[in-house]
Amino acid sequence: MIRNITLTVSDEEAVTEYIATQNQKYFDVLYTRYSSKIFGKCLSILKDEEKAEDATQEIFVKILLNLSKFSGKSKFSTWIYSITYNFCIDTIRKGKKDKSILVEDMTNEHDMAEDGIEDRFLMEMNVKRLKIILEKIPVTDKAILLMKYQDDMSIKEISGILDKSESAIKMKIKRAKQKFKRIHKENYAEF
Amino acid sequence: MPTNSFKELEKESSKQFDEREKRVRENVNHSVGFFHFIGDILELFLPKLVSIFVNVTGGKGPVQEREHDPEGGPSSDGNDLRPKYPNTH
Repeated sequence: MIRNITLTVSDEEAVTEYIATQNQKYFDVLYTRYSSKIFGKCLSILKDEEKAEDATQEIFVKILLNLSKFSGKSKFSTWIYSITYNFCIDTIRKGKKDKSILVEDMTNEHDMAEDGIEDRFLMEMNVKRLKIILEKIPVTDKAILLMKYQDDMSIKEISGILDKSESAIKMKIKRAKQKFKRIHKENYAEF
Repeated sequence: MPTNSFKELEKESSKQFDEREKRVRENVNHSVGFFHFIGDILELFLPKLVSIFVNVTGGKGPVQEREHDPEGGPSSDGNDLRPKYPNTH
């Protein structure tokens, strides 16, 4: 039954129906679609399965309690991923007590030249290598690369999530790619 | 279709959720149920608590409709037995 609904109901319809009826089956639709993806993102950022499980649980509670605030201006997936990334970044920030975690690299925005690193370089990389390199780059750079290449978010969507200007986000992506390339070079010298 | 290692990585990470899925779903349901319960309780008792607080602090509750009209006004049920023209009674 849930499988049938999962195939036919859009995210937005499931949200509307859940708000109107509080029927569990519509929550199940959203949970089935997104829980593993949210867990995957939490695991990528938090690097710990137990923490990722707890974060997934808290994020879903947050989503359910705030479902009526979803305005439909963005895609539902973008909305829940924004909650996910912000939750994970906040968790790390609290752990490190480092308030500068999100403002790093944002001060120098004048250098907007192309980075010269093709998207293909990142997207066609061996998954094992990709995982190792992502482990080594700072959490905000990792999050921004995941938003761009894993979630196919636009610059505008990312800027909305991180509450930064579009030019700042372009700069962030450029620097994240440069760090990615540098770590790749250090670890796999043949490149 | 061009490959995207980021999507492959996502699938790989998601697989690790299989054994946790049921447990997390139950915990989410419990948490949301608890919050709804608290919300229902507040919705039920908050107005009472507010009026108790107002009374305790010396305020007056909402104005009650006067049950008895000392001036002898017409009764609300329309059965007014007073003479309409008192001087002609």
